[in-house]
Formats: sequence, C-alpha cells, structure tokens
Amino acid sequence: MSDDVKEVLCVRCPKGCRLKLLLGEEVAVKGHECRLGEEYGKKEATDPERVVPSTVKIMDARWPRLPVRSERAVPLVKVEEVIEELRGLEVEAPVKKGDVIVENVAETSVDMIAERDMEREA
Amino acid sequence: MKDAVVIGGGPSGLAAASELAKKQYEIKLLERNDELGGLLQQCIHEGFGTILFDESLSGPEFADVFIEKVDDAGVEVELNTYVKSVEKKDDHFEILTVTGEGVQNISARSLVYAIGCRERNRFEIKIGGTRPAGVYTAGTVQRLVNLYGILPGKDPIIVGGGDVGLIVARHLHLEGVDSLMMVYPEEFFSGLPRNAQQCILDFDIPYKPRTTVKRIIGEKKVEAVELVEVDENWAPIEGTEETYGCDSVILSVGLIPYSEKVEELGAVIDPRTGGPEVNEFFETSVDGVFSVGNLVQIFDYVDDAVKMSFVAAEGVDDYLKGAGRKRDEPVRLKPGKNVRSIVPQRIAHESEGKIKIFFRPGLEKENAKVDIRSEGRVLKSFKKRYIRPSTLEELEVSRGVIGGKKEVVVDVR
Amino acid sequence: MSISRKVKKVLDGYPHDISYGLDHGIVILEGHVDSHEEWVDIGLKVGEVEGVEGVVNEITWKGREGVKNKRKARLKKKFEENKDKRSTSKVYDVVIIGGGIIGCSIARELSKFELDAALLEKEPDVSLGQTRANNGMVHPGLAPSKHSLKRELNVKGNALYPKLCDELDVPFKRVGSLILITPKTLKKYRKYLPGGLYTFALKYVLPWLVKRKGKRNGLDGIEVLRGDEVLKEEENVTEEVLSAVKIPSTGIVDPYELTIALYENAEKNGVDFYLNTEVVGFKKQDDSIQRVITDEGYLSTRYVVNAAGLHSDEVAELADAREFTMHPRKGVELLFNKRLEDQVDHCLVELTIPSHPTSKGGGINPTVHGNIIWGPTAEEVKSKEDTSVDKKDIDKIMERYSSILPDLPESEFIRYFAGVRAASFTEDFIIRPAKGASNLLHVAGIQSPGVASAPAIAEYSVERLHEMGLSLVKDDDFDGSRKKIDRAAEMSENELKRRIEEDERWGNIVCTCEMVSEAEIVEALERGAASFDAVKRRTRAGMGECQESYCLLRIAEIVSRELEIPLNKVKKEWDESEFFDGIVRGEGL
Ligand SMILES: Cc1cc2nc3c(=O)[nH]c(=O)nc-3n(C[C@H](O)[C@H](O)[C@H](O)COP(=O)(O)OP(=O)(O)OC[C@H]3O[C@@H](n4cnc5c(N)ncnc54)[C@H](O)[C@@H]3O)c2cc1C
Ligand SMILES: Cc1cc2nc3c(=O)[nH]c(=O)nc-3n(C[C@H](O)[C@H](O)[C@H](O)COP(=O)(O)OP(=O)(O)OC[C@H]3O[C@@H](n4cnc5c(N)ncnc54)[C@H](O)[C@@H]3O)c2cc1C
Ligand code: SF4
Repeated sequence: MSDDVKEVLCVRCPKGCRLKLLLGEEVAVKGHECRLGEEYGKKEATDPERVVPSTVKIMDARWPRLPVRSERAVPLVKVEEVIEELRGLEVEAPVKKGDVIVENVAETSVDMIAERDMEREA
Repeated sequence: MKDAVVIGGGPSGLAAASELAKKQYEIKLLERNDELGGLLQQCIHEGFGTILFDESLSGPEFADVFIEKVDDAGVEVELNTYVKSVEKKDDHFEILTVTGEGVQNISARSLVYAIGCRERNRFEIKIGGTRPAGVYTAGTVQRLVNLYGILPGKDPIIVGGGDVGLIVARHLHLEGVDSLMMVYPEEFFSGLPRNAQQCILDFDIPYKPRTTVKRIIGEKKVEAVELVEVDENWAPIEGTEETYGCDSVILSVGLIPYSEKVEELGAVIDPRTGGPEVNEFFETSVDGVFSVGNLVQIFDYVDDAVKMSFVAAEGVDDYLKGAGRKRDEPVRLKPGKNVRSIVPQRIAHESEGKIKIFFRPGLEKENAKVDIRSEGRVLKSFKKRYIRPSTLEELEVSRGVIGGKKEVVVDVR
Repeated sequence: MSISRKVKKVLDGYPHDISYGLDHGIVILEGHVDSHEEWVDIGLKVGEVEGVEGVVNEITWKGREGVKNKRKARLKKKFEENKDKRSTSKVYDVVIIGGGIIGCSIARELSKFELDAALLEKEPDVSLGQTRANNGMVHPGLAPSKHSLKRELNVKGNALYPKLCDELDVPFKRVGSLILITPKTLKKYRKYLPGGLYTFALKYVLPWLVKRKGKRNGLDGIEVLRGDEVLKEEENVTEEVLSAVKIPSTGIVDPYELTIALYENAEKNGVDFYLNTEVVGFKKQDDSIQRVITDEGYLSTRYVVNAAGLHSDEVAELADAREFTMHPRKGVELLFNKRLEDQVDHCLVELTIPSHPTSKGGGINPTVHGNIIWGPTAEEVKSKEDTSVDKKDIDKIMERYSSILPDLPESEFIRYFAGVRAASFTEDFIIRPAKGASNLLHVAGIQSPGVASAPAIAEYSVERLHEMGLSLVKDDDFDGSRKKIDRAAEMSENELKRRIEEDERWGNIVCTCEMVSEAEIVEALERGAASFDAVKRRTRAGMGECQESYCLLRIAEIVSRELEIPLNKVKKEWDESEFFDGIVRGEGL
C-alpha cells in the first residue's frame, strides 16, 4: 500500500464498509455505501482520533491498578506516546472518578482522568 | 420479607434494583464479588452508554451511574454473598446465603436473577492437545491486565474475533506484549467494525480469518499451537495445519448464560439463547422469578440490557401489586427462517402498549426484510439496513399486532 | 517346547532381523522394525509366551533411539553432578521411588513399623503420574485371569478399601457395577447364531458365563438381571439391553485424594517425603544398592522399592536390573457436569466380544463427587508423557458410549483428560525382587486395576521386603487416622454458621461452582500445596462447570498472599509453569 492510500473500516453502522481513502489535497473516499461513510472517511483521512484507555499503578487501594482514560479523543498518531507517558506513574488512593491523573498528556492538551473512585485501604 | 431480592450486581441487576426501590419497594441486592458493577469494572475502554446517555463512557463510569442510583434509592446491598440455595414456598421464596458474617435466611416475595454469563472454555470448543499453563479466557485476561496490571504472556495468540477478543487485543498491544496474533473462524471479524478498526487495524496487529486452533502444544507451559484453516462451516481443512509459536492462548469464543441456578428453581431454559425463557416482562416460566441482562441472552450493548431491566422492573411491580392480567394462553414467539434465537419467548399479558422483540439473525444480509408472521399471514414487516449474526437486532411492535394469536414467527429474508 | 524355542517361533512370524537373549525368564529383544506398532505387537506376543517373566524390548523403530539417548545423557549429567553430594545424614531402611498411589500406599504400610523410610518423587506433588488421570474405579477383580497376580491383589485390595478410606477420611462408595449385555455384545458372531439363538445366548448363556468367571475369581454376591430388571437398577440405560451381570463389590474413589491422604498420613507417621527429587542413578556394591543418587544429592539405604510407574523400566536399568520395558498406553476420559449426578448409579460396562479395540475395559462411571466419567480409550503411544487429547478421541468416546446412555446430553461434558498406563509386555503386575540387584524390589507394570489393588499391593510388597531380609517390628505409636480438609459445601447450615463465627474465611466462597471457601484453600496451602493445581486437587476449587473461568484469579490471589509470592509467580503446577508472564509496561508490581 502506498502512503497516499489508507484503508479503514467505516464504523457508522454494523456493515463496516471497507473504505479506501485516497489522500491528497482533496481526500477521496471509495468503498462506502452511503453518505455517512463518506463523511467518516474524510475525517479518518485528515485527523483520526481515539480515546485512550489504560491503567496506572495505585498504592493502598483494593486493586493495584487504577483505570484511566483520555478525557477526549487524542490524535491516533499520539496514542502510543500517551501510553508511554503513563509508564512508571504511581498514584495514591483515595482517588475520585474524574480526577486528573496527567495533565495535557503527551502535549495533546487533553488530560488523563480516573475512570472510577478508589478508596484508601490499609 | 423483602418485596424483591435481586441476585447479581452487574449493570442489569443494579438497574432493576434501583428502579424497584424508586417505586418504594423494599429491595435487597446480593452480589458474590466484593464490589458492584459486574463485568463492567474490567471493561475500562469507552463505548458504553451511547444509546442510553448519548455519551460514550467507560465500563466503570457506566457502572458508577447505576451504583449511585442504587445508593440513592436505598437498596440494601450485600457484597461477598454466596447464594447457597433458593426455595419456592407458596407465596414467597426462601434464600439461604453465606457470607463472612454467617449464614442467613432471606424471604422475598419475588426474585430477579441478574447473574450474567460465563465464558466458554477450551473444553467446550474441543481444542485438543495438552493442558499446560497459559490458556485463559479473554475475560480473565481482561481482569488480569486491567485490575492487576499483569500480562498473560509475552507472545499470546487470541482465538476469536468478537468484541471481547478485539478489546483485549488492544490492551495487550498497548500494555507491552512482544508480539500478538489473532485468529478467528469467520470470514471477517465478528465484533463491531468500530472495535475491529480501533483495536486491530489501527495498530496493524496480525490476524488470520478462517483459522482456528486445533491443538495446544507444550507440556508445562504453552509453547505453540497448531493452527488449521476452516471452511465456511468452520470445519477444519485437512492438510492446512501449521505450527505457530506462542506462550499463551487467549480464548474469546463466546459467553454462556449462568442459567443453572434458575433451572434448579424449575425455569424452562431456551436452548437457543442458553438462558431462561421469559415473557415480555422478563418473567421466567416460574411465577415471580424474573431474569434480566446477559442471563437472558448475550446483549451486545449494555445499554440494551439495562433498558430491559427497566421493563422487567415494571413486570415485578405488576406482579407485586397483583396487577396486569395474564392471558390464559401466552402467545409463543418462535424464531423462523434465518433467525437463531428470539427474546421474549412468549407474550403473557393482556395490557396495552408496545413490546420489544430481540432476535439474533442467522445470516449476514443487506437490506433485509423481517416479517412477523402467524399462521402464514404476515402481520408486520420491517426493513433492516444491514444484519449479521454477531449483532443482536431489535423490533418494536404494538401488542395489538400479535394479540390473540397462538404462535408468532419471526422470519428474515 | 522350551521358552527359547517358543520365543523364536513368535519372532519368525516377523520379516525382521531380531535377536533375543534369555536370562532367568527375562527375554531381551534387539533389532529394528519399521514402526512403533510392530514394536508393541512383537513385545506383547513374546510377553504371552508361557514362562516369560519379563520382556526387555530394545528393538528400535525410527525415532526411538534419539529420544532415548537424549534422556540418558541428561541423567548421566545429573548423576555426575550429584553422586558425591550427600543430601541427608540419615541412613534409610527403605527408599521408595515414585509417589503415585502405589509408592504412597507402600510408604504408609511401612510407616506401621519401626523403621526409617523415605519416598522420592520427581514431580512437585504426589499423584502426578497415572494416578491423577484415571477412572477411580475400584474394580471387583472380574477381568484378570484366575491365576494372575492381578486377580489376587485386585480382589484383596477391593476388600481392604472401606477400612482404609474410613481411616483416612476419604470418600469411598460401593456403587456396584453392571456388565451390560446388548445386541451389540456378540455382533461379530451374529451370523453363527441365527434367529432366537442370538437373543438366547445374550440373555441366558453369556451372563451365566460371566457369573461363573466371577465366582472362580473369588467374587461373591453376583446377580444376573434380565430385561426390565436391568432398567429397574439403572433407569437411563438403553432399552435395548437384554441382560446384565451385577457385581456388588465394585467401588469408586477419588484416586488423587486417596494418594494425598496416604502421603499425609505416612508423613505424620515418620516417612520422609522428598518431592521435586528425581532418581538419576545408583551406587552399588557387588549386586546391592548402597546409595540412591538423585538430582538433589544422594541418600543411603538398605532397601529400595521401584514404584516409578511408567518410568520403572528406566529406574530398573539405572540399577542394572533391566527386566522389563514399559509400553505406554494412553487412555482418554471425558468428564460430565455434576448436574447429571442422578443419571448414573453404577459403574457401567458394555460387554463386547471380542473386546473393543480402542476401549478395552472402558465404561461409564459415577465419581464420588457426583460427576460422570466416560472412558478410557486405549491407544499405544510412543511417548510416556503423551497425555494430549484430540477431537477425534472425544468423538470416539462419544460414539462408543452414547448408545449405552442415550439420553445423556453430550453437551454437558465439561472437561477431558488423559492418562498413560504403565503397561508391561507380560501385562501382569510385576512385584518381585530384582534379579540384578539383591535389595531392590520391583513394583512395576501397575496398570489398571492398580488403584483397586493398591492397598493389597502395599501389604504384598512389604511382605516381599520382609522376605528379602527387612526386619519388621510394629510401631506402637502408629496413628492411622487422618482428617480431610472440611468442606463448606458439605456442612449443615448450623455447622457452617459455627465455623464462620470462628473464622470468617469459611464464609468467603471463592469457587462458586463447587462452593469452596477461602478457609479450605488456606488449609490446603498450609498442608503443603505449592501450586494452583495442588490446591485444586485438595479442594476441588476450579473443577466445576466453568473450569476456572470465574475463580482462577481469585484462587491465585489467595495462593499469592499465603505463599508470599507475587501474583505473576503463582505456578499452575511446575516451576516452569508460572501462570502469567510480564507486567503492564514492564512496571513493578
Ligand atoms: C469484555 C467485554 C467487553 C464488552 N464491551 C462492551 C462495549 O464496548 N459496549 C457495550 O455496550 N457492552 C459491552 N459489553 C457487554 C456488557 O458488558 C454486558 O452486556 C453487561 O456487562 C451485562 O450485564 P449483566 O448485569 O447482565 O452481567 P454482569 O456484568 O456479568 O453482572 C452479573 C453480576 O452477577 C454476579 N453474580 C453472578 N453469579 C452470582 C451469584 N450466584 N450470586 C450473586 N451474584 C452473582 C456477578 O459477580 C456479576 O457482578 C462487553 C462485555 C464484555 C465481557
Ligand atoms: C486412563 C486410565 C484409567 C485407569 N483407570 C483405573 C481404574 O478405574 N481403576 C484402577 O484401579 N486403575 C485404573 N488405572 C490404573 C491406575 O491409574 C494405575 O494402576 C495406578 O495409578 C498406578 O500407580 P503408580 O503409583 O504405580 O504409578 P504413578 O501414579 O504413575 O506413579 C509413579 C510415580 O513415580 C514417579 N517417578 C518416575 N520416575 C521417577 C524417578 N526417576 N524419580 C522419582 N520419581 C519418579 C512419577 O513422577 C510418578 O509420580 C487407570 C489408568 C489410566 C491411565
Ligand atoms: S458507509 Fe454507510 S453502509 Fe457502509 S458501513 Fe458506513 S454507514 Fe454503513
């Protein structure tokens, strides 16, 4: 596959059309079966984004890991960088759902937040 | 005496319990684990709540919404509780529980089973070979990685291309396995396109369609698997065997409702769903025993499971009030052409309003026509843009359409 | 005809150059054949020759030599490393090699006397050989031929079971067996038995013959049942059944539970158990063993018992007492859900003449825990370690047995497993002083009914040791009783209440399929279980319908906490079988 063609699945309905995105000044979408697919393809071609779920180490809690996620979607190309930034991170219980665990993670201007409460346990 | 005891504190149990408590009933909820939320606590990815809240939450976040509701509504929650036995008396049920505090008898006027499902294991799908360390179900791995921070191995293979397998693949890839492979017997991933794209294709994780694991190799620890290609009927094609080196095997090969407990109470089990047969209010064939969530059938979206818990709560309400007239003979709902299973299996009440029918298609089809039919006559038709076996479909019909019939069949063509 | 001539005659039947030697009744075969099947076949034929006491089958087939040489090289290396390393200053009266049901039974029998005994087991727990993978049937002693040692010890062993299991607090049930005679029984001979003769033979002649054999073998209480009488005893069997022979003394037991109990009780009475300790050689003086060399150093001893199961031929060879060769024969079993507990009351065998080629002796058994077992198959395999199971084995068993219980839902099977029988070519038990080492007792070739015979094998073996010169003085301090790990699942409401008051862990049910509490798991660990599977064997946690899919991590968490090892270091069974490998992003736990 050359650099200027990208294949993705359309996620707008269960059919999952296999879209071919021809990259360039003007993105062309092929393989879609409806308008939604075209719209989705264009977005995927220019700036695909994903919410990143992961966990970080937590001390003095019921579980040794705290689930965290990016508050909003971050650019797909940044996902692995986001995960990398969590390496070695430790937080301490108690934690509340929505607490910011990392600010502006991997310079995406998105925060990593806690997905749940975790109380302090001896 | 409790008005209702809800067994199982996953999303469907929480939803049913909170709805009932809101109606001023005295409700007790029993959960075997040490926290509420069921499977959702380990599903740390987002994608929950899109139907119910028009917002994409993570599993724990979604669970939390209902945990709060249960708290606010004043449901009595008992964690770490093992239900040893349930007995039906004349007009109530006797439940015997075991906890760290002792053995307890609870009486309840009605029961709501919300105990979910378990994962199919290697024995059930007859994977041959040896039985070494390193063979896990995907749910166990999800728990292991997300709650304990431990990986199952350095180079796992995932068997099964459904949503659970896909989600686990992404976690393993991002959290540091050396290499990863997925095989599945279908032509293409059976999970949602969204999960296929975002979990496998986004990261170029290698996968093999129309392939399964025939044997596991390794005496003490998994050393390799023997892969084999399969045909459209998933029958292995002889001569296509190849050995693939790996240190763990992760099975994502289906979920099975925990129906044993309700069966012991006398409920009829539907072999097609694996769960108890229910009516439109999710009452099983035993009066006063309701069942909701993945115990009834495997729901793809937790949102749908929860919505049905609300319906079940109405049914429990009617039951407790002695309201709601039941028909002498229920209308039987039967899967017809190209339909694998159907829920509810019967319509028992006389009342007005609409009912929801869920069915699992038996084939993949674009612009499918779905007919509700009785004695050769089509009562109502629906058009579905795209259906496939791995996606549960939903129909809404008013009772008027099927009332008075003996048997109603759903066909796909 | 002399033995030698008879052996030659057998070998003449094969198109290969095979040489043979004969020494005190032991035949040693050498040469090369094309296949493993031929190797088995020749060995068995020679083993059948009257007067042959053992067959050492050194014939090679393609692929055999390599494996053997590799193993020998490994043992040699271990031997050199350990031959001068003393592992204990004790000098034992008896060292037993092998911690299966046989080794452990002998250990407990010896612990009744004033002597120092040790048992060496190469695996991390007892009962990991054949003993862990069998039907747990305590046969009555019908099948073996009248003059075999098997018959004698089987009938005796069976009779010793109730008392033994009572002392050791191990469940044993005398369920009785039914030998079913159906239209399939004589299918091969159907054409010789026209019309009514066939049914007559099946209904009247055959049961009578079976009963007569049983009587000759020393069994009491045998009954013949016909038609509906069979269905009254066992309502779910096929209605095609014509007659059955009922043998009341057949029993069932959990073989690893019993072996663990024997181990615990023998240890309590002073036997030293060395687990994870493999015998790699011997040091002899003249023809007597002085030291047993293990991979952990050597032990000095006066007598040695070779109860090494499938590996007893290798152990014999290490002691220059090569007198038999094992030919591994695999048996696959299917286990069904406890839910079906009420469906089968007796051990059921369908008689077929000639016996079914791949399921000799197989049948349907209830287990003491309420499951049902179908099997085993019988397949000669090349490797002693080959406990793999293939789909075709499962299908074969399904096909073979589903006609006996037509209504048993096949989908209710929850697990399969396989064991490898330690069969010798003479097929009888070999319990005798070695010809090549004066203080070594072979207890070998103990295939089925080894479990059933074990208590008698133990007594018989100790008698042989006594004949060899071991002095036996009763130990007055011997305490033969042992208590099992109590089970929450079996307790009355009040009993459980009381326990929980004492210790809340009784109320924490960890495995919900089998209702196993945290307290039981902790006790298993305190009694020496060192791995997940060892806990499982002692408590049944994880053995239910879901096959660990719910409780694996919960049990592992307790093992980790109690043994003070990180969760990812919990072992399934062996050191090389740690469950999990790696930590998220390589972070510390
Ligand atoms: C890996 C995975 C990924 C998923 N991803 C998505 C997704 O992206 N989006 C989405 O919408 N849905 C998703 N789902 C589906 C969703 O999680 C389920 O539909 C939902 O969890 C079902 O809820 P439940 O309450 O029926 O069952 P569960 O969540 O299983 O809850 C059952 C509860 O009952 C308890 N219990 C069981 N037996 C007993 C007993 N005998 N006594 C007392 N308590 C008992 C259990 O401990 C558990 O807490 C996913 C599911 C899985 C497994
Ligand atoms: C499928 C199957 C079904 C069966 N069904 C029945 C039945 O229903 N009833 C019945 O009565 N019998 C049955 N049997 C037979 C029964 O299982 C055996 O007879 C019995 O378990 C033999 O016990 P054992 O102690 O001799 O052998 P094992 O259990 O094999 O013990 C030998 C031990 O020696 C150890 N060892 C080997 N080499 C060394 C060494 N160099 N150093 C240290 N240790 C060593 C091994 O690790 C092993 O633990 C069945 C067998 C099979 C395979
Ligand atoms: S392009 Fe249209 S039809 Fe195809 S998957 Fe997307 S939304 Fe569905």
